[in-house]
Amino acid sequence: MLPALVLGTALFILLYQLVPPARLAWGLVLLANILLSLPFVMRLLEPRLAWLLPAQDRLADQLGLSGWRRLWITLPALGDELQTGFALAAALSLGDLGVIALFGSADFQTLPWLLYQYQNRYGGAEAEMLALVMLGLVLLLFFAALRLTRPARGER
Amino acid sequence: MLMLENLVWGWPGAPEQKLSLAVEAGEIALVSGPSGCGKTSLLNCLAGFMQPHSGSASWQGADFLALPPWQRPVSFLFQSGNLFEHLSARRNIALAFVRRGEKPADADRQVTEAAARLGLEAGLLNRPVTELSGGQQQRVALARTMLVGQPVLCWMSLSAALMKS
Repeated sequence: MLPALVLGTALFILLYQLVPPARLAWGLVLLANILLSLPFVMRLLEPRLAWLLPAQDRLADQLGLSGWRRLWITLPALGDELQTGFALAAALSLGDLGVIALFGSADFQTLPWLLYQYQNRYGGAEAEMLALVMLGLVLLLFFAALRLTRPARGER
Repeated sequence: MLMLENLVWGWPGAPEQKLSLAVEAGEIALVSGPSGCGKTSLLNCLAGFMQPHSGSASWQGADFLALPPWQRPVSFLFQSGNLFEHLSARRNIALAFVRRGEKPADADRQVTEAAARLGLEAGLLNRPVTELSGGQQQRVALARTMLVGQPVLCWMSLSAALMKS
């Protein structure tokens, strides 16, 4: 597991001579958070994949499903796990300061970075409000993930 | 005619199995034997999921062992894993048209008719297959197999989860 700051610094060193970092902020914050969440999401997907893949591969081969069509048919089997993984990744990214600290600018900020700035400017009330919003968002994601993984589902 | 000639298969370290067999169109052949004797492996060889050591398997004189699973003249029903569990029964049956290469205009009607022939009511078709009983799931898989329309049907544990009728 790579610390966010290490990944952010590596990306910064790699790219700052080529492009102004602020121009890449959106993409890099997204990429870094995807990479940072990947180990957790993979752990979530692995057991399901190990159980599903042998039978699904055999069935898809037998039916001649290939390429995008195969992905289109088989991927929804991972729907619950992907949705939970997305919620988990989103919750994790809400705590990220390592990447945005290097690539953020006045035009591009994230909630944790804004919170950090308020704290540094003695903006206690604003910081508390933001912390509350972030807590609410994390709880929302948590309950969304729980709801999405409930077994009873309708027809798809 | 389905013809297996000196087909030899087996897992590494296990004794090899050998079979020659001729089955005329319309005939039913039953392969039986004790557990572990290689019945499933034989079907896997015919399905294209396992490579036999030697021999040939042909349908109407054309060897199909070199073909990928989806181009073989054979449909398979395994003991389990015949359905995509996240799809409805209707969508599972309709996947037959992927293998046939085209989706006919009356695909929906064909799916409903194939299901009805096997005693599956139309109301069941829109349910996820996980909400169906084991026997109903087998019939959904069989309905799809019928629609694929390959001339040879290999069925593992023929009676598993199915009613006598």
